[in-house]
Amino acid sequence: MKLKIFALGAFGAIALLLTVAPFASAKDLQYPVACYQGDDLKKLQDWEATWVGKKITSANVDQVKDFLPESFYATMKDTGKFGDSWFEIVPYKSAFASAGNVEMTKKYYGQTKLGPSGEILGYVSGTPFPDTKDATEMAHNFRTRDYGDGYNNHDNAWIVDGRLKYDMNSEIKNSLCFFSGRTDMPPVPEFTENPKQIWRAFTMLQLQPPETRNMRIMEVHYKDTLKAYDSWFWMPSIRRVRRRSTSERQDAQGGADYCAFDNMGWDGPVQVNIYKYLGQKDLLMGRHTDSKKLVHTPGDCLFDGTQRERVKMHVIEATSKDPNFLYSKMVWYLDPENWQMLYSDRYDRSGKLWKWIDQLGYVGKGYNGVDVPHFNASQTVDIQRIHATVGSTDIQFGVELAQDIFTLDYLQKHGY
Amino acid sequence: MKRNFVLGLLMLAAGLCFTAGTAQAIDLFDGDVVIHGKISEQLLMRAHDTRSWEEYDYTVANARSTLKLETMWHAYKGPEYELNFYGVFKQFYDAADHIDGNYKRMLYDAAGGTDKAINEVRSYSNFKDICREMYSELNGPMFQVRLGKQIVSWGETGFERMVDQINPIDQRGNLNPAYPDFAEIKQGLWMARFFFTPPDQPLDMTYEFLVIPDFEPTVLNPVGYHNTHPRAFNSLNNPNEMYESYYRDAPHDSFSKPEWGGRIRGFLAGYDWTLSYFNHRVDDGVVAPNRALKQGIGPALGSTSFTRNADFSFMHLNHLYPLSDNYRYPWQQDVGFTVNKPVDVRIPIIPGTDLAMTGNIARLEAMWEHNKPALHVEALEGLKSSITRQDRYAVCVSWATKVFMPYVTPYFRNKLLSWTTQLFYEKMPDKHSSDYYYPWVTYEKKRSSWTMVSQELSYEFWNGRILPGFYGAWYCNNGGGYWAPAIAFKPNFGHTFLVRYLAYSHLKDSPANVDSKDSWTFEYTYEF
Repeated sequence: MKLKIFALGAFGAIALLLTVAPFASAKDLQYPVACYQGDDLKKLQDWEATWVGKKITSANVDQVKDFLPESFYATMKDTGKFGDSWFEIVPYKSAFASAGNVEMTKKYYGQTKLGPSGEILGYVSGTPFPDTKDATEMAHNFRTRDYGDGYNNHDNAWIVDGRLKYDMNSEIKNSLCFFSGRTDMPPVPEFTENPKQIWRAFTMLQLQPPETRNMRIMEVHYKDTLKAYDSWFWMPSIRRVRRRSTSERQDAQGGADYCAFDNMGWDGPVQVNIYKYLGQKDLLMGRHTDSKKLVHTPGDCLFDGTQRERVKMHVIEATSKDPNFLYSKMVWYLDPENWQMLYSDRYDRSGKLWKWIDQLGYVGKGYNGVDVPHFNASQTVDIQRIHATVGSTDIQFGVELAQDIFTLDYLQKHGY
Repeated sequence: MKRNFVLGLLMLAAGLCFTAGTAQAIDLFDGDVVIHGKISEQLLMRAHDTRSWEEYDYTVANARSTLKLETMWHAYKGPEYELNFYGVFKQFYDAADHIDGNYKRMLYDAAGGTDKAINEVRSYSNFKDICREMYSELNGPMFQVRLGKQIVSWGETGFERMVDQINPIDQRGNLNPAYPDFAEIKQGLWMARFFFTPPDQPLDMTYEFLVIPDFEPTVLNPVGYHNTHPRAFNSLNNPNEMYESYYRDAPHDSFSKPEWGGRIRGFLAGYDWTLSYFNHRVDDGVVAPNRALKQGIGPALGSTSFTRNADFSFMHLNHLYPLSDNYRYPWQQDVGFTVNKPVDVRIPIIPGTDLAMTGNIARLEAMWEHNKPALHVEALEGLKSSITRQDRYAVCVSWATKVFMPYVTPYFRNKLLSWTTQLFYEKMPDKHSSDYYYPWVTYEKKRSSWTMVSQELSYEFWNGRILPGFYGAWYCNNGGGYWAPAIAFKPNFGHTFLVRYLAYSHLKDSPANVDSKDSWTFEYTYEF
C-alpha cells in the first residue's frame, strides 16, 4: 500500500514537473546572453586597449592572425592576387536581437521541436532554440533571425574581376515582409489574415545592369518548411510573368559569385544540410559597420575600411544531404548574440576552398526605434577565380508593406 | 568597299565599348522620370553564294543602326493610387542598299523600278511605326487601367505565338528569323486595358479585359528583301505590289468595330493557369473571293496604261494598279489556355552519370481558333474561289530545365546549362488541299496537321561574359528545319557583341526558297 502511495506520489510529482517545466524554464531563460562577461570581458577590454583604432593592413595582418578566419587571413596576405587591403579594429559592443524578438523568444520557449528530417516544427516567433548547443538548432536560429519583421532596401554592388582589375555594377531594390514569425511590428506574431500560411515574402526590382532593368522577382516561403517555395518573375525582354523553379538554387546567378542558396548567407531550407558543431571561436567580425567608411577600389576584391570587433562566434559545419551539391561543405560563423551569419567558407566538390562570404553586420533601427541586427554590406570572394561580388545596402526596417505587393498581379501590373 | 564599311562599323562599336564607361539610365527629378534604351549596330550577310535562279548576287541584307528609347514618368505616387506615363520609341537606319549595289537593284526592281521597297527597309517612315508604345496608367488597390498604344504579351511558350495574338508584328524589326524577339517586333495598338484584382477571389483569380479600336495588319519585309524573294516572284514586274495591296486593304474600324478580349489568371494546387478569349480580325489578310487573276495581273505587269485604267469590275479586274480591293481581314475568335508547374525532381539524362536535369518547369499552351478564315479554291486555280472558315486546334508543350554537365558545370563555377524543349502540334480537321491557309498554318497546303520540335540551349562562361546559345527547330512532317548557334561577348554590362549563324536545312522546296539563305549576323548593342 505504501509502495502504491509512493508510486502515485512520484508519478504525480513527475507529471507536475513536466507540466510546469517549460514555463519555469522560459521564466529563467537567460536570453540574450552577451558573448563576453566577467573575466572574459575584462581580458577583452585589456586586449582592446592595445588594438582598438589600429589599422590592420596586408603587411601587419599576421599580428591578429589568430582572430581571423583562415580564409580571410590568407586572402589579405596574398597581395599578388588580391592586392593590398586593410581594416580597422573597433571595440566590442553587444548586438542583441530586438526587444520584441527577446520577448517572443521567451514566450514561445520550449515549443519548437525538430522534425524527423531536421525541419522545424511548432515554431511561432522569436529565436526557436536560444540556449542550444546543437548545430541543427543553431542553423534554425540563424534562419529565423531578426529581420525587423520586414524591410525595404536598396543594394549597390560591384561584380569585380580581380585579374583584369575592373568592375561591373548592379543595383537592386528589395522588399521583404514577414507574414508570420513577427516580433516587433503589430500584428505579432502573425498577420491576422494569412490564408496561404506564408512565413515570409520577397520582391526584387532590378535597376542595373541595363540588360535586366525592370526585371522583378517575387518569392514566397511558407510556414511549412517542407513545402516548396513559389516564385515568379517579370522579364521585360519577353514582357511576361513567368514561373521560376525554386528547387534549383545552385545555378550561378548572372556574372556574380553566388547562387540562390548563398543569398543572405544561406537562403534555403535548413533541413537540406547536416550540421556539426565545431565550437566557439574568438574572431574579428564586422558587426557595427558604418558603410560610409567602406572603400571600394575598382578591381579590388576586398573592401578597405571594414570595421571589425572581437566576437565569440559559433562555428558550425554544414554538409548537404545531396551528394551532387555544389559545395562539399560550408563552414558557418554565427553571431551568438543575434544568430546572424557574419562569415562563411564554401568548399567546392573536390574539397578545395572556393569562396568566402563576409557579411558586414550593423545594428539598424526598426519599428518604434528597436535595434535590428543585420548586415549592411557584404563581400563574396571567389578565391579560385580571383573574382568577387561586393556591395552595400541602405535598409529601412519596420516599414509598412502592403501584402498585395507580394502577389502575381502586382508583378503583372508593374511590369514594363 | 563592303569590307571597309564592316570594319568601320566594328571599329565604331569597339570605340563605343571602351569609351562609354558605366551604362546607366537617365534618371531625372529624383527618379520620377526615367529614360533608358539601347543603340545597336547589326550586320546580316549571306553565308553562301546565290543560287542560279536568283537574279541578283548580293551579300549584305542588313547594315542597321537602331536607337530605342523607353521613357517612364511617374506623375503621381500616392498611398493608394499611382499615375504613370510610359512610352517606347524606336527608329533605325539600314544602310545595306548603300553598301551592296546588287541588293539595292533587287529591291528597286521588286518594286517595279521604284524606291518603295528600298524606303521600307531603310527606316520607319511614320510616327505610327516609331512610337511603339505610349500609354497612361492608373493603378489602384484593386484595379489598373492602361489607356493608349500598347503591346500585350499573353501566353507561356517561346517562339510559337499561340495565345499571344493581340498585337500584329512588323517583320522589318526581325533580324533573327530563327528565334524572333516578339517583344521587339510587335506593333503597338491603341487600346484600353483593364486589370481587376479584387482580394480573396477563389483560386486567386484576377481578371483582364481589352478593348482595341485599332487595327493594323502584319507588316512584312518588302519583296526583294533577303528572305521574301522566292523564285516565283522573278517572273513578276512588280511583285511588291501584292504586299502593298495587303496594307491598302486593311480596314479602319475604329470604335465602330473594336476587337476585344479578356483573360482570367488563377492558381490552383501549384498550377498557375490562364484562360483567355479574343475576338479579332485576322492580322494576315486573306485573298478575297475570285481575285486570283487580279492578284496576278497587277504585280505581273506593273504600272501600265492597262493596269492603271482597267475597270472590268464584274470580273474584279479593277484597281489593278495600284492594286487594291484584293484582301479581306475577316473576324475570328480565339480561346486560349495556359498552365505551368514546377516539377521538383532530378532526372538523369544518362543513368549512372551526373548528367541530369533539375529545376524543371513544365508549360503547356493550348489554343482553339474558331472561324479561322482562308481562301478556298473552288475551280480554275482560284479564278473561282471563296473564303472558308474553319477551326484550328494547337497545343505546345514546353519543358524548361537546368542541366548539370559533369566536369563542365563544376569548372565554370557551377553554372548549369539552360535547356528548353518545345513540342508543337496543330490540327485543322476540316482543312482540304484547296484551302490556302498556307503559309501561316501547317506550312504545306496538303497537310491538315503539323508537328514541330524546337530546342533552345544557353550557357555562360567567364562569369557571364561569354554567352553561347543555340536554337534549332525541326519540322517533323517533312524533315526540314533550321538551326542557329550564337555566341555573345559581354566585356561589361551594357555592351554586347554577338555573332549568330542561321542555317536552313532541307528547306529547298519551302515557299520562300530559304534553303540558300543561310546567314551570318554580327551585332553590337549598347544599353543604358
